[in-house]
Amino acid sequence: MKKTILLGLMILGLLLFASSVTAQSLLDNPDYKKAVELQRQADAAYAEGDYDMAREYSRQAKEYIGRSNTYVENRLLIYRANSLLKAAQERVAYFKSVGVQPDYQAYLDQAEKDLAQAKAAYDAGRYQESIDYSKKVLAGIAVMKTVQQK
Amino acid sequence: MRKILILVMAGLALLLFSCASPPEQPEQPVQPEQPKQPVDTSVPLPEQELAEAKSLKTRVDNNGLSEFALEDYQQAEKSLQDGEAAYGKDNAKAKKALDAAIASYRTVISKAFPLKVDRSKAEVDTIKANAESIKAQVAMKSGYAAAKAKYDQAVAARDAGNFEQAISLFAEAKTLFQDVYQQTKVKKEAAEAEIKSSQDGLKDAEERAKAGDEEMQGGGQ
Repeated sequence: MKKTILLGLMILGLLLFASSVTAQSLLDNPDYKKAVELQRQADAAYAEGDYDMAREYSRQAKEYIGRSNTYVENRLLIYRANSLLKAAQERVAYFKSVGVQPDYQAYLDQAEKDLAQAKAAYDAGRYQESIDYSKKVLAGIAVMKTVQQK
Repeated sequence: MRKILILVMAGLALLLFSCASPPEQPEQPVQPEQPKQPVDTSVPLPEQELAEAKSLKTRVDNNGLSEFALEDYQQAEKSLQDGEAAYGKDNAKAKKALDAAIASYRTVISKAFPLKVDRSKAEVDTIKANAESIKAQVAMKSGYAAAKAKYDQAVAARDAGNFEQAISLFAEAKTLFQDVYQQTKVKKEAAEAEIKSSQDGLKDAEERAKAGDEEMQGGGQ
């Protein structure tokens, strides 16, 4: 009985953890939080009449806003690179598994090479380059036909 | 022939009439010459009174006191004028007039100085309140402290009855407070611009992040 309750609690905990991870906003980053805190300090300094400090806090807040924006852009870039790489991998795997008409074999070979480049770029953190290769793969595959297709 | 004679006689009569001189005006009676008033030399020249009256006038004018006791000032001016007119001619009269001028100028001074000081203080109080309303005491700490110190000195001088000094100190305090107010205003506006800029930046960052969240939760491209 105890084991069942313990197992249930563990599953519940895992579910809660998973939901919190997926619901995490891009604003949940330390730079944005720091910017908000600095903005609050700027407002407080302004209300007190310490205009020099208010300016300084606002200036610092803008620095952290810039960092937060960079973070958001990077996260989005990684997400896009990852999504496109997965899509490209799936499409190439599919055509490899079902086979393509001989006329399109060269396209598939090229797609495999581009996919390898996309993966290498992704692993090296060159996400924009990875995106460009993945898009190339998907564009090349779009014209291919499987052996069953006429 | 008779007609010619009549015409000639008429012409002569006309000529005589036109040449007649106008009747003489009756002679105006000659005014008897007034006897000159004798110069009063028994009273010495009121030099000291004249110098004091002029000195008091200078003090009143330099401090702009006339408007605060106009009637007394006009009386003093008239007495001084009378004194100067009689000076060296009727020294007794001159002395009397100058004594009156001195008394009137002193009245102007005693009445006007406190009023003038009150006005000077009121002017400084206004600009001081304006500076404080935008928190100059925080934004311009040392500048505000210097202006306030001058203001306190002016109040102390007024309380001690040193009105001229008080007026001068209030004028200095006013200038200092005006500077402090202007500089605080500039700082305040600069801070407002910077704060607005960072507020806009935060709003923009939130919108970007929200769009990113939606893209990632919606399954991406």
